[in-house]
Amino acid sequence: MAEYLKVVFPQRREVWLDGEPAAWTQSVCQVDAGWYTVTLAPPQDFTPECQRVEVIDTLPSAPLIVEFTLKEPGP
Amino acid sequence: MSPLAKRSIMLLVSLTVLTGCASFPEAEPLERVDTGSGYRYANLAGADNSENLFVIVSFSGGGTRAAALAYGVLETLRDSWVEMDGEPRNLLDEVDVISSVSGGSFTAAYYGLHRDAIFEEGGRFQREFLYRDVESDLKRRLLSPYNWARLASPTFGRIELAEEVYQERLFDQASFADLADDGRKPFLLINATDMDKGSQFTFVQSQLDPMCVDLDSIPLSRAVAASSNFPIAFTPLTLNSYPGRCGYREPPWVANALEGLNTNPRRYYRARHWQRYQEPERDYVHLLDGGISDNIGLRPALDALRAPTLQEVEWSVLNKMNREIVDKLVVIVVDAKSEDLAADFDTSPRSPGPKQVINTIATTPLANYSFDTVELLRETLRDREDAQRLSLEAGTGMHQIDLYYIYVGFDQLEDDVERARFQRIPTRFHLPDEEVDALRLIGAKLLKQSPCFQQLVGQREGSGGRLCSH
Repeated sequence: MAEYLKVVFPQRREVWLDGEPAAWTQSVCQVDAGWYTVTLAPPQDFTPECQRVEVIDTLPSAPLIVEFTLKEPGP
Repeated sequence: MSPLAKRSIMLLVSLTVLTGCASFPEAEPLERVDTGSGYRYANLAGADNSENLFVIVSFSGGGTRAAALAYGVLETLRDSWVEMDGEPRNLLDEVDVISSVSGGSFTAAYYGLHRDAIFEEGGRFQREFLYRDVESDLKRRLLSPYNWARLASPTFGRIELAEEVYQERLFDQASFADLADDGRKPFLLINATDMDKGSQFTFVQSQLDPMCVDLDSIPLSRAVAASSNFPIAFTPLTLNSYPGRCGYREPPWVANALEGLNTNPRRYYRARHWQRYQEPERDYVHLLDGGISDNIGLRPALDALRAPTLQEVEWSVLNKMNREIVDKLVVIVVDAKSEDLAADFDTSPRSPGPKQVINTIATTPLANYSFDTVELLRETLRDREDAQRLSLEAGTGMHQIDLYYIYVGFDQLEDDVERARFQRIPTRFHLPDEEVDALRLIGAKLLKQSPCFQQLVGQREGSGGRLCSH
């Protein structure tokens, strides 16, 4: 069952699924239906650290959107 | 004691010793899992094989018929060129993965080990396998009294005798360590069937990691014997397993997949099977012909098109598509399926006999499953094409890949007489020389006549980002 996921982040960055490089931010990627742990490649300048998502009932034109934001710079 | 009695006792003692000694060759344990070593896709060099063109070839089962058809396809790939970045590239050199079953595994394994030497006219592969009466070799070994004593051992079966024949004739002492040392693509997937799980068993290190078995210690002849281990004719092939002794850690995808019985049962069961290899009491795995679980050898390609991570399928082509490494994907399916055109029981009111019934039971589910497997691949590629188009229209940025599905099978022959001739060739390990010659030629003809193959090698205009599937 092909499902679709899009990870949004202000920069182009590698997307990691279950701890390994698997796609790019801002682009729709195809995955098998199910649960995944999503995070981004280093540097660790993003938040949240990771997100666990279930990818089901998506379309290439309406993928599951997972958003990461840049961390606020420390004081 | 009379001389006859002495001789009888000596014979008895010798036979007892032989029986006691005879056992299958043991696979060695893996001391620790090291993804940087062993026969793994990631450890193969890619210098002369660019991944932006990703080529998968599958060789089906079907005895010498399948081996010869596969051979004809390999010959044509060797003589074909594609243009990549303005440079001509040999298509055979561009093959990334060969997945094979049963008869097709002989051609795949010999090519993987000896490369272009397979093409030598009158060379070892042709002389000792393709044009040889391998069945007689197997029968001779079975009829030797020396082997009767060995066969009395519960851990030595007919499959071990077959392995000895393949080792002697084709593979010598070569093991997967030789493939790993060579370090070149294509990555070979020699497929068998795990009797206990009913699932495909592929001879790659990642499959053996949860069993803590060192694939380097397994002879190629043994993998090919497992892949072509026709039930009843041969005994199941036993592999040792040493679960829990190499510090194997379950990859994260397994836990995630186990939560998806209802959303993705296929992934769920793959994870379940994966876990079972780690169960401590399972010290052995018993293998049968790869054709029982997939007689086309295409299931690994389907898995690689579904799994988005390399921990799930180490050569996941979907992962490479999502990471924008692959721009052009080519899947060449070589299917030597036969058809029982002689069946004529519908011309009579009499009920077909037990032989015909058994034949139907043994072959029909397998043929139907193979047909569905090929169709599933075509649908998977069509879905990808649709997804690319929808994403393009919606501007969601999916990587656009050119997709090629090329099917080489006898049913593509337009001439009825010619088609029937090839579909009638039986599944045996001995065919007349002229049949082998004809199979080589027809493999080449079928590949060359494919419009998608012609498009791939530049003889026809391409259609960027679309699926070519005819």
